[in-house]
Amino acid sequence: MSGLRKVAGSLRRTAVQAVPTVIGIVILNFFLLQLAPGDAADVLAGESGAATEETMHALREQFGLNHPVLVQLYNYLNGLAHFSLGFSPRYGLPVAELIGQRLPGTLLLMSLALGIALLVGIVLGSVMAIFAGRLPDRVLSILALVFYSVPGFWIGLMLIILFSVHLGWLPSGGAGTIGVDIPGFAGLLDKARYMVLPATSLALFYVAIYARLTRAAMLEVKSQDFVRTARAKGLSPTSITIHHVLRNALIPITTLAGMHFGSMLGGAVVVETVYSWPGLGRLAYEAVMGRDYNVLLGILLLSSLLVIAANAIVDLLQTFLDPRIGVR
Amino acid sequence: MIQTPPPVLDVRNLWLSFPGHGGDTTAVAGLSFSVRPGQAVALVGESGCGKSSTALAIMQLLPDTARFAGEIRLDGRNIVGLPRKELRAMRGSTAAMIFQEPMTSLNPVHRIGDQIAEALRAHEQLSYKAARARALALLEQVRIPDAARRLDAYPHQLSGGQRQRVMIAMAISGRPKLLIADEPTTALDATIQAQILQLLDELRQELGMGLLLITHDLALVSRWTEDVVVMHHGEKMEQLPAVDLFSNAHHPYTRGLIGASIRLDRSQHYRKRRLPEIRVVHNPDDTYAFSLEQREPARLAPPLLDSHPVLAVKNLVVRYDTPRGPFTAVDDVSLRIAPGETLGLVGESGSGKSTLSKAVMRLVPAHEGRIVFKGEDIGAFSGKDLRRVRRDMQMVFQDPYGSLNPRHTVGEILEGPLAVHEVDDARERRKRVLDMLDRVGLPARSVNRLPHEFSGGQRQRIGIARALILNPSLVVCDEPVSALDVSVQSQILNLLVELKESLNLSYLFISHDLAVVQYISDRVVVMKDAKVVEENDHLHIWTNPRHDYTRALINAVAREQ
Repeated sequence: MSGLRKVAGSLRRTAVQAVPTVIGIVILNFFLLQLAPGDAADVLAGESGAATEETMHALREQFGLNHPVLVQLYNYLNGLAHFSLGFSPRYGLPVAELIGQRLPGTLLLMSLALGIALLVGIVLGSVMAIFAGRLPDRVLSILALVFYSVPGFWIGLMLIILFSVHLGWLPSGGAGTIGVDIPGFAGLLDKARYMVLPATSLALFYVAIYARLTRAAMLEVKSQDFVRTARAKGLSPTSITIHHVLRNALIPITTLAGMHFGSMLGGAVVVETVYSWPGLGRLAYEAVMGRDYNVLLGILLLSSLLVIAANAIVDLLQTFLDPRIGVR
Repeated sequence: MIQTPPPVLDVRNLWLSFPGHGGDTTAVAGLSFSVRPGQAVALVGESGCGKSSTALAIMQLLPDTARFAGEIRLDGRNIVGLPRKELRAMRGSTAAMIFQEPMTSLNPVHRIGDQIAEALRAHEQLSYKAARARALALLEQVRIPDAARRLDAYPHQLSGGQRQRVMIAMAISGRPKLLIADEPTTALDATIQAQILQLLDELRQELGMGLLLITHDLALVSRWTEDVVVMHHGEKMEQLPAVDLFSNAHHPYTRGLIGASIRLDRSQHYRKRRLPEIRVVHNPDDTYAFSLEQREPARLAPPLLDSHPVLAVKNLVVRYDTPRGPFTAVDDVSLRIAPGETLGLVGESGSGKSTLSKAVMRLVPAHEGRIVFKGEDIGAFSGKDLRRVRRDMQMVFQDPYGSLNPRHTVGEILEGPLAVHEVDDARERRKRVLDMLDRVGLPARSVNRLPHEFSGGQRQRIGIARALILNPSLVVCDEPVSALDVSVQSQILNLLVELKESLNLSYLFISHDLAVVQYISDRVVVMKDAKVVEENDHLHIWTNPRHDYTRALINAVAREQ
């Protein structure tokens, strides 16, 4: 089918265009990190209490930190070209392995949070748009404002107090029951129980954004001529709202959701900390504190790749949602 | 004796008002008329006369805040105050409606076949497959070429005329007894316009529908309808058979409208005769008085055809890059405008006339050819040189709503060009603004008001003032009257002639309306598909068109009239 071939062509083009972008991002990040004072050896030495000049030198030698900056950059890029993200001085593990441990859980949590946010946000936004100016709209608008303005950690703590401490329904932190290996469906259910609270507290902020955006987009579409045509055809209000108003309002929502997917990856440190969730946000934070630049560069590279991938997917989704935008 | 069938639409003493901040606005006041099955009735009037509100009231598509009094009987049943569910059943099956803008009246994200099928399935139990088959039959009925393939097209893949056909297919899908067409051809080109009206007429007879045609265009009415209701400020001025409209109208407003509208077959020209203007006086006791005002023709020196032209365009080519490769919008076009001359530029949408005007103004780059303005080749000018030339050539735009910055007062809008062109003395600027406002017939207190406080015609006056405040010698008018009502159109055209007389202007006047171009032009250029197909003076081009396309254009308009 020519449609599929076009999609494949567009994806291939995105991939090719991504290469120079990613290299640029890596080099920029590398130099930005060089601006920070201190290196991994300083931090290791500081944590062990004391170190001699010789130990420091040995540490730097071991991690390749004694070379000039440009040589270090060359070494890093050379590693990348051989699909190696380098070695973490702090964790004593290859960076790829470190990220590999955290990535699936993080991706799952992000997708779940974004999914919840989109679903709830669009439903609330539709309700607000249908009852625009009336009581349900007013109440939900205030609620959205609350979600939007209350900090994530506070919502997280309150959810823990309610659902873990008082009701005892859900675990208060972690990513799975420790010490047991539950097989099959029960294992999935166990993991899901650990994800509900962090995903919800992450989602609430985005729920507010999507609800308000959906409301605004739907009200905008509602005033368009083709909605009047739909009414003149004698369609029911439900059918008009779903097929004509909401369908057209989805176009701006997908744009925003794509942008959020990229930014969520790095922006979940607070929620991960509150729920002691082993995610990439915390790993990145610890890498900054430990001056573990290899890990940090790896995470930044990964998130830039994810942003590019998310953009490509959103572009494709847009052509599907809006036939006026052709796949090229 | 033949028994007349009961009317399919019977409007009795309809009052319609909208509550607002400053009290209620009455849109329709005591309107009564009826439409019999198979009859075509026109509702005629200028913007704000209540004709569209009446149409929407018949479909009950007005906002919930609208207040009704009186009766609207559709097929014998009063629909005012019916429950929503019954109204829904009525819409599309008893009465259906098509709208002015075929571009925006279809949902851009759904295939047209699905949109028609949706209308069918709203009123009948039909499988998706059966509905599609019916949709195909409907597309064939409205004579869309290659209907089977078009069924899966999206609206943006169709031309304006085809989209309006899709709208009509959708409207007749429920076999309505009454079809309301609200300005169905206003947004379309002359040749397409005739085809759409022809189609509506045939369908009306085929299906025995009543047709309510809402329009501002008197020429359409006399040809395509049987009865005419003339409206002003929500009231019916008079009702008369369409054949009598031009010969036997009694009401002064109707006669004013007829007098002010320009018709190709009357061969009016600005050098011989001014257009009559309707004067409407709103009396303190809320009655209206109408009169037709004839003005003295302007005394204009003939254009200096032999002297150096103000503008000479030679072999101009303009291309746009599109995803499908370069598109030539203007192809090897040459033209010249003499001092004091008005050159009319006619063409249908997409013919390249607007691109040509933008290229002349150096708003889009030309790829080949020369633009010589007052002896200088301005094709490669930029920066200071270009600014100096632009002072001498200005533009009046089509849309008086979109082309004025809504957050600037009229004073700021008019002072802007003066400040740009280094009139540094604030008092001098003020003086010239007031002088210009006076010339275009706006009161001096307009200076501190914002564009939205003015009517469409007044805004166009502001647009003209903005163009003329720098004392240009050439003014490019891009469809300056096509968004305006007939009575306002004649005022603006008269104003353009007066200003031409007093300021010795040359105009490049672009329009799709042949009658307007005939009136205002000394010479006419016809464009089609990016090329000039014919050029002649205003006496010969209408009587002796040489090119087939010019003939087709003139015929399309003449048939209406």
